[in-house]
Amino acid sequence: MSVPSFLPVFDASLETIEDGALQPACSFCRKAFKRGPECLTHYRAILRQPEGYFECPFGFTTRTFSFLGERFAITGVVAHPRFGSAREQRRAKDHPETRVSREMIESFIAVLKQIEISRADAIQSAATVLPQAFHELRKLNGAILQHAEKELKSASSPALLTIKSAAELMRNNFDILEALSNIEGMRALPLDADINLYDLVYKTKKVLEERASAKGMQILLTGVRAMIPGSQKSFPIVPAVLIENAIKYGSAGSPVAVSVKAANNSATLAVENESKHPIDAVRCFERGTRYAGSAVEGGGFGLFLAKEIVRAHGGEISCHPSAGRVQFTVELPLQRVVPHDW
Amino acid sequence: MIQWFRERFGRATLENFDRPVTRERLIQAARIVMIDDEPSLLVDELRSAGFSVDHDTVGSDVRNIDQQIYDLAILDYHGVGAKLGSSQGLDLLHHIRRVSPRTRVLAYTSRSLSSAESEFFRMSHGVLPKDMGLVDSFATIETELQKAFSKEHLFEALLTKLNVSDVATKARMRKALTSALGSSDESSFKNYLKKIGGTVGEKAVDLIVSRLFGVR
Repeated sequence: MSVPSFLPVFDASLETIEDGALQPACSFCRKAFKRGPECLTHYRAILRQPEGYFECPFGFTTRTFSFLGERFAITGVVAHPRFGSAREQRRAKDHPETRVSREMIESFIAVLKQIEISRADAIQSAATVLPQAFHELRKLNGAILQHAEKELKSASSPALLTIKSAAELMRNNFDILEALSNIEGMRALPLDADINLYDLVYKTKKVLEERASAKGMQILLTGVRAMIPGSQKSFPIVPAVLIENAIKYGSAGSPVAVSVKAANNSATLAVENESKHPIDAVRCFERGTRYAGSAVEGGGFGLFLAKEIVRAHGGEISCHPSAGRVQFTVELPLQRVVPHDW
Repeated sequence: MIQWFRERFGRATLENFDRPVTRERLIQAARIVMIDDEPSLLVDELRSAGFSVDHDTVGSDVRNIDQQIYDLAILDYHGVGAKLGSSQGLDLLHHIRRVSPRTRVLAYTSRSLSSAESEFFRMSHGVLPKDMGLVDSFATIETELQKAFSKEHLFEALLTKLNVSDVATKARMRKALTSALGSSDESSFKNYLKKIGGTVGEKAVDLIVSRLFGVR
């Protein structure tokens, strides 16, 4: 990180001397810095000490300071009041352009402190305003979804169906973003809803069908209507992530097989697809892990989030890669099985 | 067969007397209040479907809540209930849970889960995200209404209303209710309540008792 300065600055993280906006680093400094280790030894030593004024081995004034957690030093100047050494007198005489006052340096550091405060205030303000903006976006998307649904009741229209699917997809993405931004909040959500796993997966399939067909893929769903206790706010993210990943990383033209089973007090959701991308069955659940390189869009957050949500529901998620195929399995506490409507 | 045997000869529980309330009956019997400061397509659609819905955009006139007429309150967090305190929807939620325990509450919001609002989610019976589609919103509301008519929920509301907290009294009341439900004898249960010092005749208690014996 760099710091805005009108005087020359030593940057501790880069270990370089940067020109100031008004005064470049003096030629003596540049040469001495390159010639031997004295300069670097000096900076390393003083940056471990509390902020203050130090005289460099060649007589220049160095004022250390911190900015946004990084350490810097204004350097290559002869500041008044001086230290009073002979070498300092020599530098001031040979390089009169470097003469400044300590008062001026202090004013500059005060400005930097003010910038830090303003930045912290802006971050604080964003923390309040951004959720509000996010909330408004969600409401707007919800209005689109609800109006599309209302119109679809009276007239079937492929365009309206596309709008409805897009709004539902957007809603999934909002859920993912929200959960990612507050993992602790997501973990603390009450498991107060009876979730019909099969119906939820069926709905997710309907939402993602258009995306699948764009890749010539089909989502095939089989199984039983297993009920699980869960959070309506977080759990829908799990099938959405797994099926969306299967479409994203699956081979074009191949099917995505999804099943919901119930046995031994356990509900099992399995999502399987063909894939040419190799995957590490353990590391794939780590935050930020990606396997398909830049060829496939993604941030490596989906599976991490799915794992967190499944665990918050008292379940386990696992990945089973085999030659050219990958299956994700989610095991959850089963409440009961209800009959199909058909 | 096993289920029939259990129902007939097993130890009766309140759940045994629950039957799914038909949608038509839900529409006829349920009273819903939406407390949200914004116009809502959901309210329009619920009304079009025949549900009785009051839309309160301020949440300061709590007379109907105090009358305990609602089976379900759909409650926003922000912009409502300012008269009851600075915590807005949360203060309203506390009020509803205290004065009208039979009213189920759905937290109606699509806000992020800030720690300040977590109590709002925790104290509600469920969450209805504002950005949910109409079909899913209806399903969530109808599920909550089914729960509002369930014997177990109404019994818990009765205990709260009568301020019964000791385990032994609760167990005796449960037994008396189960027996009265078995013989469809509302008056015997009312007599029992009178005996244990319950304020039978109070509208709120009467309403819960009639719901316990009434809606099918």
